[in-house]
Amino acid sequence: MGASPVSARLLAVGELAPGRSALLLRLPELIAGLRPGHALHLLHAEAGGYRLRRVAPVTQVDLIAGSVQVALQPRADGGRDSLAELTPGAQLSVVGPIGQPIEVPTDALQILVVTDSEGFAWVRFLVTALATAGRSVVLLIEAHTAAEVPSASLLPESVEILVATKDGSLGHQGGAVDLIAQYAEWADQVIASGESELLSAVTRALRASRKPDRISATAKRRGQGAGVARLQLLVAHEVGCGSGVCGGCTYRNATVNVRLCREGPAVPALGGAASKRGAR
Amino acid sequence: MGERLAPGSVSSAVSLGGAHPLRLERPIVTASGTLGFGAEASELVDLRDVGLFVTRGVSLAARGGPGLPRVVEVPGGLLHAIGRENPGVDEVIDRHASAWRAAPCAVAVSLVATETKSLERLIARFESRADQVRADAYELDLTVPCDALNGARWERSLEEATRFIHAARASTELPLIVKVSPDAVSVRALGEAAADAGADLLSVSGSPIGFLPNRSRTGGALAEGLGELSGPLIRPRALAAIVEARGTLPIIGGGGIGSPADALDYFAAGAFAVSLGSALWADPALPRAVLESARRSAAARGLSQIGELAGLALGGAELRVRG
Repeated sequence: MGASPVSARLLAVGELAPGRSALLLRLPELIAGLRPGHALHLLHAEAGGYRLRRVAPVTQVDLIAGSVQVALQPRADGGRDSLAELTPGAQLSVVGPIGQPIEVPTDALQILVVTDSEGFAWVRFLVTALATAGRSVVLLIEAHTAAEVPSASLLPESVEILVATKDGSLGHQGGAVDLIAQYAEWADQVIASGESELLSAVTRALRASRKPDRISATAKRRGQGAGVARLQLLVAHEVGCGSGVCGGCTYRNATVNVRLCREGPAVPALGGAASKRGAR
Repeated sequence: MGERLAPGSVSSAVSLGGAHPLRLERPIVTASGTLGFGAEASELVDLRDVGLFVTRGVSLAARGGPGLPRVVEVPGGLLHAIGRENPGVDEVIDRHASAWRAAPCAVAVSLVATETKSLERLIARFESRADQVRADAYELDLTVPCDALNGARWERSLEEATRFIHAARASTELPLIVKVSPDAVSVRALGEAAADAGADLLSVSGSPIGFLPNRSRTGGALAEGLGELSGPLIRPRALAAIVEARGTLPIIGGGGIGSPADALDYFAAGAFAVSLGSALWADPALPRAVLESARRSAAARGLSQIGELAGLALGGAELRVRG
């Protein structure tokens, strides 16, 4: 059989950002293996209605406390996830980890992460891990309005955060891509996470301002990370089989065919070869 | 009703169809699309509890799928558009035929074709590789778009659907399972036409069409726009379609079965076997639970076979169905 479900105890329900629910779980069986990029498949056995496992990106791991924070993703129909209504002490059925860790070459020291309020859940763990490891991280956050912007307190102080809001209520008025040019040459590695419009815009902006692909050249010289693209897109997925067989999360572009729940969530976009694990 | 029996004495085997019967050791079917093409299926579900594994749809040539999102949750179910994405018949056989041969249950290949010529060539391709392929039946998916109907489903035209089934029957001696959804032009008329055209079973388990705008209402929630619905929200419609089609061909019923009790509803409405879909992702042990529940239910009624549960809710009389 596939990965067996394990039981997790709900410690708390909170918010990752305004309107974005997060669950804090006690999950001793899986916690040690969780890495940035991983998600969990959650099911509350007692919940009524449709028994469907939902994909919840891991946003924080606290090995000392033994707790894992995951984000509940917004539903397409605008409905509130019933998991957010649970009270501490509830038991959840968990399958995971879903997906692969995000590969960042060891010689990529300067990292640019571009996200929006939808994509933040998929990068929080990554940004924290990179900053804690001593890498320089710049985070560009795009939102419609200031109320949607996650709190800076969720990230290490060493992370440089720039905010762009469509209505100008906080930071730069406009989109995150307006701010990319000043970091495009600086960044060894760029990671974008969010809605498809943002991912397309980042890809276009980076391609337009692209300098010689130094991370690929460096990686090749050192024999490291030869398959890692300079721009990686983190593509969200919400529901599905979680085992790669249903086709519900297959992401296709010109070079790769990635089952997000197995080979994702990172998809190579610019520079470097397509990830070998993504070929299907 | 006879005396209560021991559940262990109740037979789960059913033999369905006339001229080309399909024997299932257990009246449990895994729906096409749910567990992949074959190689991965036994990692997800114990196929020893299943009677029939139906592959994901296979076409003559490779078919690409739409962009993301392909699957979203809606109240009471899922809306999905995978586009019958598959690598084409030869690659599917190369990668999955060994799993079909090893499967501890019957295997049906779900056929995807948008016109009859490609259906004939697709079946011919399978039959030409019969030394490698163990298929116990073909599923003719009438919820696939039909070129002659400008992309509408085969099931939306009695005439086109009948041509499709005739073409398949002329191409193979294997049992044919005709798959329709509650959206069919007339499930009963299709069942009768399918029987006349030589089909052996009717699978009333296809997904009806659905649509949901995205949150900003600037487009569809799915990249494809329209999608197909699965989950409990379609259950009453699927049950009604089974009642409508009862008596035309032996029926496999499915749509939103998430518990043993749901499966008993399908037997009671007239199904001889039940098709399990996305609920398997949350509960891989569902086939075993359904099987045991059906055995207990039959035993409590003094029935020696699960197949005798079919149609109990109809009280021996056909419900009046208005078209």
